[in-house]
Amino acid sequence: MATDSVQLLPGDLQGARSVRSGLLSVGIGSFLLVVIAAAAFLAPVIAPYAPNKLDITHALASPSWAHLMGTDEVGRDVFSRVLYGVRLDLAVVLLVTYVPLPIGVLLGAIAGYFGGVTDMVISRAADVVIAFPFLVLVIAVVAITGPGLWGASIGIIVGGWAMYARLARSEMLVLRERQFMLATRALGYSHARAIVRHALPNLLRSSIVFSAVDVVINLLLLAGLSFLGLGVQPPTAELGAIVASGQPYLLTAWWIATLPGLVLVVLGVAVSMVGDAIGDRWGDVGS
Amino acid sequence: MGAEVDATIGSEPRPLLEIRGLRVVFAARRGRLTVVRGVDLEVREGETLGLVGESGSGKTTTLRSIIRLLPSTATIERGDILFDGTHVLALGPQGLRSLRARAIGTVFQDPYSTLNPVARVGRQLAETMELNLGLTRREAWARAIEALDHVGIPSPDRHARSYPHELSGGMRQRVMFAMAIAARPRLLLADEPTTALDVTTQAQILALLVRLRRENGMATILVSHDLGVIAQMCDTVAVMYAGFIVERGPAREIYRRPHHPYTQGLLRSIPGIVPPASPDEAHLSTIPGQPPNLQNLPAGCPFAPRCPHVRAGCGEIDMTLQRAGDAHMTACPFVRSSDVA
Repeated sequence: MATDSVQLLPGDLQGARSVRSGLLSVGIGSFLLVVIAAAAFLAPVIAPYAPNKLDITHALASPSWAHLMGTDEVGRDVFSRVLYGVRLDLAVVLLVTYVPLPIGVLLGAIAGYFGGVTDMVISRAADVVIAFPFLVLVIAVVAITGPGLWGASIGIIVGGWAMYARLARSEMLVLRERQFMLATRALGYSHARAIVRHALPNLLRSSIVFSAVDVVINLLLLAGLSFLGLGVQPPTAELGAIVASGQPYLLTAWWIATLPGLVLVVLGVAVSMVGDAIGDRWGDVGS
Repeated sequence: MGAEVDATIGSEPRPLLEIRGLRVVFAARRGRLTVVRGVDLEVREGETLGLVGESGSGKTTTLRSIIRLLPSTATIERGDILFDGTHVLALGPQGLRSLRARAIGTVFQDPYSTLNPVARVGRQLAETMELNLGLTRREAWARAIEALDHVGIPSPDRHARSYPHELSGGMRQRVMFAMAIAARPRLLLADEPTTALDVTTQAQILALLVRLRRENGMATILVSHDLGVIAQMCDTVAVMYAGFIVERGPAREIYRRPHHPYTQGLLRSIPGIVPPASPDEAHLSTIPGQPPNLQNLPAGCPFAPRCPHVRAGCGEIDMTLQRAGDAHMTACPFVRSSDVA
């Protein structure tokens, strides 16, 4: 047995250049992400004030050492509200991204595996969802459930599974022709086992890569809904809601809307930098 | 004692596998493609049948029909497949699954893609054991390691924890064999199991196949386009051309006295071991012409356009096999051959 054990990992062969340029953005992205997420997670510990504590005597104070991001029209500390807001946003965004993911992947896998009528029903349902402008679809759901955190979350989940289904379906069409899927049938495995145990682990990679992009989209969507008054309701601290509440004071107290908005942008950029790196590293393997 | 033996020979026990008049049609972009055109085959308990032919001759389709593992575009239009008395074409989903799981094992051509790339080799093998033998997870893992050892994988403990990409092609094919024979099937279908491997590994895998066959007493159908491999491994040989079986018989007979002109051409195109006597003889013989276009076959014998013995009657023959010797059948009614070198 002189022929054994070739140990070559697929990643080893990828161009060193893309790895190096990727490293910088991963470094920056994950640094920012970790700092922001840690601050948000530790909000109750590090926030200098309670997020809803009123202090009319210091209303509309500009940024200072006492109030890093100033105060709003009723004297609440914007920095504290931003910390709590990021905390809420991150938690909700993870939920509305990673709940639809397995649902969509499973539906897509089933569609791709069986084809025919099953495929048509699932694919057309996904098409219908994707054909709606996402925001309009979510607003329609919110109109039914009523504005609020749950309404917005359900809306995003209802619209979110379709892209994963489409992605998983197209990969399943390729996977279905691979010999190991044929082998599962030759070995007498059930369809459920072939799909769940053998196809899904191969499909998940691309969906996880895509979910890194999806997180950013959902983050902006959730903040956008709250900004429009359809998502998180005041006085709960949430980035979009804070920006909305600062809008009337944009000329007199620019910090209320601008600084939370800036945090949102930085958070989005950090997540997509990390997401891109994940995509570069794992996105194209598995073919 | 002697009388009993005679009785078994006289009554000729029913073959393990019987294929009658199999006809398989593919839906193609432009019309229908008949890939298998009335194949008759039988395999007795413990026997090894070699299925030879060039690409597109219908070998693989015939083999996959036995466990009904055809692409969705293919239909078995006519024919009957009897495995141990069961009509395979009439089986429901459950019956088919248990046939595939326990009675018939399958090894595919390409060991690089037949294992799930994201699961450990031992786990995949253990999964087969769990499902098809009803073992618990722990028992199955132990059995899987035993099985890896049995098919000649060194340090099976360690390799069971490897992923497929960490194994060589030969080792992966060994794992496939271990999976295929896990439930001790009575029939093993091997679809070009060595084609994707290099020559030394090929020899090792064939030796493994011989050993497993002997130990388990299972019948085997070996598909190959390599006449050397078939000669080494098989009791009987069936030669396919354009969806027909053109010649069938004991391996020794086929190689010594090939009757069908296509078989003769195939055998002549194998390089000999003896060096040629003169430079003129150094040319390998080839079969002239192109492989047949399945969508546009001539009437009668599909080999006629390339046949050196072609004559007026070739367009009228119906390709049924005719007896040309003891258990030796050929589809050509005209050519009978004496020995070829």
